[in-house]
Amino acid sequence: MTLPTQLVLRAMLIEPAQEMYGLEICEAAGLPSGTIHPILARFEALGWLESRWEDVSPHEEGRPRRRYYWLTRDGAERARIALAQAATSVSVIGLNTRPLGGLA
Amino acid sequence: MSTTDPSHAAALDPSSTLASEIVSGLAHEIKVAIACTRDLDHIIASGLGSARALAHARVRTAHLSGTRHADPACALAVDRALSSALDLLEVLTRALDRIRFLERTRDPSSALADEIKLACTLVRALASGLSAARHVDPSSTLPFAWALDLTQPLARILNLIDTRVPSHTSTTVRAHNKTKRVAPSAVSLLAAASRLLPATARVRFAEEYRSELWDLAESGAGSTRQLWVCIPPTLQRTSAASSAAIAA
Repeated sequence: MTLPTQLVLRAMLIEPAQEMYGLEICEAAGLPSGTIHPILARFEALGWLESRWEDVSPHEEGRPRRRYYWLTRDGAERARIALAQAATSVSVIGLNTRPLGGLA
Repeated sequence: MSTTDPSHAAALDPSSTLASEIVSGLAHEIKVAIACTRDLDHIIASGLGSARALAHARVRTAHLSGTRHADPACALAVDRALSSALDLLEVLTRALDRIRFLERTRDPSSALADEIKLACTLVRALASGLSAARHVDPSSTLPFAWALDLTQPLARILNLIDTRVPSHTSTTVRAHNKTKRVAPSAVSLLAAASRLLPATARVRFAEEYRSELWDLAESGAGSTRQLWVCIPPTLQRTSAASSAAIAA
């Protein structure tokens, strides 16, 4: 698992049930948009994530809709396991680990 | 003896050999363009034009040779890599066309420096997009790596041009970049990035990208920050390494 992938999962596990849109995930993970979307697409295809469009009218709001993402229950569990398995290599490269929210 | 016989390897994997030839041909044309840096128009009209024409011709040749039939997965991966390279060339050509336009219509010293930086950013952005694409489809790692290699000489072209342009940028241009609006360059960059995503999700991600750029612009982020947010860290490393190599 690549470091950006771990950062995205870690960001989403802070509040697993909370919906986050792309820019929020970027900020939480400390990664740019061009990096996170391929990762989100992959995890959504795997069933770890689900997403929905913001329930607003772009015309009325005068801005594009946001896409919200959240971890599925199964996805959150799998993400924790995957991160735990990657923890050794993460510690080797000196990444600061943050506490994960949710079912802990 | 463990020495690999090149002809034997080629016979084993003809599609890889063809792909390698395609990339080599493109790289050669780009080297020709680099050699022509004394004349900006020559670079735009001849070097990149030739590279694009060559790429089209090679893609047609690849299709006609039956490689796709012989090894569909590899041929498809090669096509995707070349498609990405062609997208880059189109974006680059548009950016350089804009440089020429601004040269004629505005203060050359400020406009040229600003637009060249944009063109450099677009080139590097594609490198990052290709890198990101490898996360989506790891089976295409090799062709994407080749396409990634292609972006490096292109970046060198623009950096060489950059060295020929006065480094100062007018305060007027800088102030303009800080206005609250979505930067067209960021839109172009993300459009290129979205083309690297799976086709089924492309429209959706394009809308997401627009939404994120809108949020950034609304928060007061200038065009530089908007572009930077779109660029993965791998690109920043590539950019730094490229600049260091040129400085050396």
